[in-house]
Amino acid sequence: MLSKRIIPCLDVKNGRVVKGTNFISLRDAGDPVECAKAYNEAGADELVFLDISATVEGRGTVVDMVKRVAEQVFIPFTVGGGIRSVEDIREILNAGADKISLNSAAVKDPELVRRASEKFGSQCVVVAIDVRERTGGKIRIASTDASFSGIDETASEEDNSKFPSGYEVVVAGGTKPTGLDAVEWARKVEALGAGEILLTSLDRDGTKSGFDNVITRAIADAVSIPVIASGGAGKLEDFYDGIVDGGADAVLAASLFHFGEIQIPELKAYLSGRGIPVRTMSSTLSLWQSLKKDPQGLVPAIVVEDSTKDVLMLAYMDYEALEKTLETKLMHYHSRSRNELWKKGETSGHFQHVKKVMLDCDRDTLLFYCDQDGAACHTGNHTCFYTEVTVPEEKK
Amino acid sequence: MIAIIDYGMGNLGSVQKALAFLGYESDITNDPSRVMAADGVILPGVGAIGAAMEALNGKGLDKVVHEYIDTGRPFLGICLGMQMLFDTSEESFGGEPVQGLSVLPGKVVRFPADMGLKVPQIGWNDLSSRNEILPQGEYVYFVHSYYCVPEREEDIAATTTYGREYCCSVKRDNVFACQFHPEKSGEVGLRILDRWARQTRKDG
Repeated sequence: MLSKRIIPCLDVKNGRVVKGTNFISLRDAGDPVECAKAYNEAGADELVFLDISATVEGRGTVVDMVKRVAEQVFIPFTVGGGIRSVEDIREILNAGADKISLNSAAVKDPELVRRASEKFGSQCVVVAIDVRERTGGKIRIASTDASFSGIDETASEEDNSKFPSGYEVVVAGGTKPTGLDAVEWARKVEALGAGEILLTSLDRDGTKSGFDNVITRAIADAVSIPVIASGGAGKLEDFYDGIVDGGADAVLAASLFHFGEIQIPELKAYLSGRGIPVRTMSSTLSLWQSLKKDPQGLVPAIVVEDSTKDVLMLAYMDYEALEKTLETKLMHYHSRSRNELWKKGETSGHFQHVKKVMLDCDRDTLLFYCDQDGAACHTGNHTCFYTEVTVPEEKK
Repeated sequence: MIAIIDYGMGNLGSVQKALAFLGYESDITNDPSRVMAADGVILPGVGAIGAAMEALNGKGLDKVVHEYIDTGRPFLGICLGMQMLFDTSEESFGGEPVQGLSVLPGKVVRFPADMGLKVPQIGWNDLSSRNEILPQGEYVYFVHSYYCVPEREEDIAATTTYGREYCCSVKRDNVFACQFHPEKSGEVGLRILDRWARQTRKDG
């Protein structure tokens, strides 16, 4: 069954990951590639990078970041922020992003959505829609004071019938109303060729009071493309509600994941427990993913005799060898000379029965406690380490 | 060397990057002699099948694909590259159904409109594998509106369920193809790619 996606969002400024509350107060928190790898290992289903660089130089770092991420992380990722033209899109996609997201550029020039989807396919065009609820004919507006988000008494008394959904599309971090109804705009971008909608409630963003499931549901029901809910998640239930009440196909959060307040595996276990389909991976694959491999893509395995604690041998494993070893409880290796899977004992009968497996602190070596049939070494010696090396005496 | 066929459509870079990460050299090319000389060939693709077939045929690469497959060396079709292997697709192109490469008998059809499904299917779905080629129950990443209906049941390597159970991978002799994107399916996808690509190593 198609799973619901969990998507961490990384705000990037001048090539570094930062995160602001309500897009305003920022805190430096690291290298985009390292963050992306960590999220991938934690089980993130997709990533969104939002470039908030204000300068041309800052923007220039995005393409390089996209290239570096694409070389190391093999889950889909979207890049948004400051994308204005088909040329910008081409550059980001060629660098290795799977999707781009358009926000204010789409409001300014809706035909850009059409041009982008015709040129590169709908599957890579995400339209980000930021919304605010209209209250009594007026719109709540953002303030430069991050803690304050109030109603603009000076806003024009526009007829609420202009906003049948009760929500207005806003741009520039919520500081500029657009006069567009949220649901109508969502329908329009779908018709123009958008492949997905990333919906952010700016009333909720940073508040940790839950997604705005009213507008999420209204848009999810109005369009037939996937909707990603964003803005407001603060606890595990919020994600469940966003999916069930809001009808979201995917849920996105930033600082909550970034500062580890909610861990992705914890969230997935929670959702799964409540009957939401989420992507999981076999424990062997998760283990393999988390291991540091050598340049040949292998991991060294040290074998110790369980009864005597004698060190018997060292050999190398690829994924197949590890999988077979854990599955059969018999040691398998990758033979570097023959470049093939090697089941220890297959010809000699000297099988190694796995009793316990330990992981090195740097996750770059595996230690297997085994019962050894016969000799471990092909020379007939009990252990491969039977040759003592002379250690020179210390000169005084 | 693995050749990734470039017919001017789709993002070929991610397939190449995943292969490089796994330690395999690859060449993005539309040169028939380079394709024919490769130890393994990948036919990738995203977008509309009509335009893709036109681009492929226009460069004479349809014949090259057939000739290469006849050599018996490993061939992998990804996403649209899987759909193109079949006889026809109901995805319209200028009002006509699209003729595919007919490497495998069968057709390509659209997800039904009347089941309340979001089309395209975007996201991770789990594999119901019919043999050892693909890992049972693991999730892989899909983006597609059409799916393949092979005529021969035995060509199906795996299915998944979206509204209905459908074929998401085929294997016939040296031809292997998946509707999902192994290059975007995290560790699971890397293992699938590695397993396929390993056959292209002459010493292994």
